[in-house]
Amino acid sequence: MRHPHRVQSLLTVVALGLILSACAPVAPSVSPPAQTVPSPAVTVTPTVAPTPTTAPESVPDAAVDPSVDWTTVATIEGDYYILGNPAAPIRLIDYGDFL
Amino acid sequence: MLRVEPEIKAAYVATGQVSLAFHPMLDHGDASRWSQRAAECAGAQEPLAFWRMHDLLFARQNLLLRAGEAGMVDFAAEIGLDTETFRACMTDPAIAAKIERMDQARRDAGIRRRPSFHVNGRLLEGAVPFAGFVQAFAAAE
Repeated sequence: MRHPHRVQSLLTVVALGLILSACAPVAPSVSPPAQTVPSPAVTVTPTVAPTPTTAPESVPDAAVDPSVDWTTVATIEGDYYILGNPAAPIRLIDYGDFL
Repeated sequence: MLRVEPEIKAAYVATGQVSLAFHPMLDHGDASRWSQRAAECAGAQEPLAFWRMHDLLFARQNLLLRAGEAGMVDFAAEIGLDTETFRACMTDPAIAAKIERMDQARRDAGIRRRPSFHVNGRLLEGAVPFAGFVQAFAAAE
């Protein structure tokens, strides 16, 4: 053998390659459902300007957080202290006396 | 409304479907005025405090005829308000004028039966049961 070291090195490289390929992660056998595949980021441009409120920093946005408990939110509207979602489709006015 | 208010709050206000307003009827003289001023002065410190005072006043309804201004200050302390600011507010002529104006407005609108309600402008009178409100809300949507 004229180049025993070269042959030995070559065999070592081949062996290492085989070992590394055996340790490589195996591709999942089941593809994830289509809806879980992350989609590219989409920029949503609002078509309607936000409506200002009496205290915008303290009024949650129902569209953003539907889990809001609106009984913890009060705003001022004219003479009234409004309890609940100021943009609620129904307004109930209670005419009463505390006595 | 006192009887069914918890149900309405849980089913409709908490979920954002209904918002609630309270309009004073000053039918019991000074006791009504001190009570309504207390609610207004609580709200002046923090809007949600109007409703905390509203709930406390109904809960202590049996004390209101004799509570007077001092009793209202005690209530304010109970719900964690600044009592000095509250005391000053209770004699503020602007607050007194506001509640008189609101009371006159409902008289002018012919609302005399207690309690009465407006659901998106539709008048309901008397002690409406919860089912009556459910029906009125469905009709208003």
